[in-house]
Amino acid sequence: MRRQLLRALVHSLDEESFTDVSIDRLAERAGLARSTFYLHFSDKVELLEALAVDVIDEIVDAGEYWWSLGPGITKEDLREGLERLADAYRSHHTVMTAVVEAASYDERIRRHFELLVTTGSKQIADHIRKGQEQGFVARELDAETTAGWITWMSERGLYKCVIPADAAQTERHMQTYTNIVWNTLYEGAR
Amino acid sequence: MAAPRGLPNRRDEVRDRLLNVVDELFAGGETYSSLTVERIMAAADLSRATFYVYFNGKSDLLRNWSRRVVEQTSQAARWWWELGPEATREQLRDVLARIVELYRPHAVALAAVHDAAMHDETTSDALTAVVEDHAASLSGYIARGQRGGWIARDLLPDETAAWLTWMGERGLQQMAGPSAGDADIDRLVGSYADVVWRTLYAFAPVRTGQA
Repeated sequence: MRRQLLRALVHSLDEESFTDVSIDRLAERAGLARSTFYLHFSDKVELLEALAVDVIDEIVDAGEYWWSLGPGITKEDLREGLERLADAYRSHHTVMTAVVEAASYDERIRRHFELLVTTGSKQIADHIRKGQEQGFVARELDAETTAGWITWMSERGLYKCVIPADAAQTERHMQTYTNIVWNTLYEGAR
Repeated sequence: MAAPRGLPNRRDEVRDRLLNVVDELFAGGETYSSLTVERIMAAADLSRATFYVYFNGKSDLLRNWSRRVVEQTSQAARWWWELGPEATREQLRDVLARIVELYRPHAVALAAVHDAAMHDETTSDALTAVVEDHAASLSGYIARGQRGGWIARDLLPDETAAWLTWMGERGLQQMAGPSAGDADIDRLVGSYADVVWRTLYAFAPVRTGQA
């Protein structure tokens, strides 16, 4: 029944914003009584939280391809890595939009969102340090703060540029995302 | 010719005063939700009724306030647009440092307004419009630099400007807040300059000798 409710929320978010989601309609969509909802979740934020945990794990996993690239890295490899990240984000963008929205007023969701950002940022910082040791990332960069800028750029860029884009625009945005990360980290480092 | 004195000037003055009061209240630790029309008007020493002469409500006031802050910050970008073929990373760093200094005192409140914007489309649109204005200027600047050979030619001006502008807006809001000390800001500005320098300038034809 948890699963039915989670699925009902995913479907609702295709149609309306998280703020507009009502527990009555969620229960109805899941074919359950309203009282059954409260056996599993105390409110709709808790339901979103359950969904967000998996989605965030998936996005972090999708970033792995990029973070584990090594000395032989090419621009095409980077593009592939960023595509995987964008795909994961895109396939869960309604949930992520709800997370970003709810993070603005709910402490629990905010913590999950911050975990995504700090995990992403830490992985990128480790990748930069490793690349600097092995000579494929520019040595002058401060790993931690550069990773911070790239993480926030990714978060906003995917949300504001890639999600609303059509196919042709998506190509231009992904090319741009790749160019910025490539020039910043790798160009001229080898 | 100077504008005639009288009501229009007084209106602007009161509007400005209210926007300044919002600055002060936020600086004093007020939060988005604790900020009420009553508090704003008490701090401005004006009657509550007066408020509605100038603004439709709290979100209208905050929309105007945040637009003013972001506009002031992005106007500082005019120093950036003066950097040309001879630009150095240090000059870019100085320009970005000045932009960050203007933005920094407002970071907390802007983040609050941004949060509110998540569930208020008018506020969200207003912020997006300011960001898009800035991105349009940056795009024009990139195209100019590409023609002159001092900005990398493989970049798409509009999209590159959009990504860098969102990076600046979101990154400052999240990383340049009150918990960031001067040393943190220094590091932050340094890597902001690195990202922009290496993306736009470092591999331009005039610098790689492939002009």
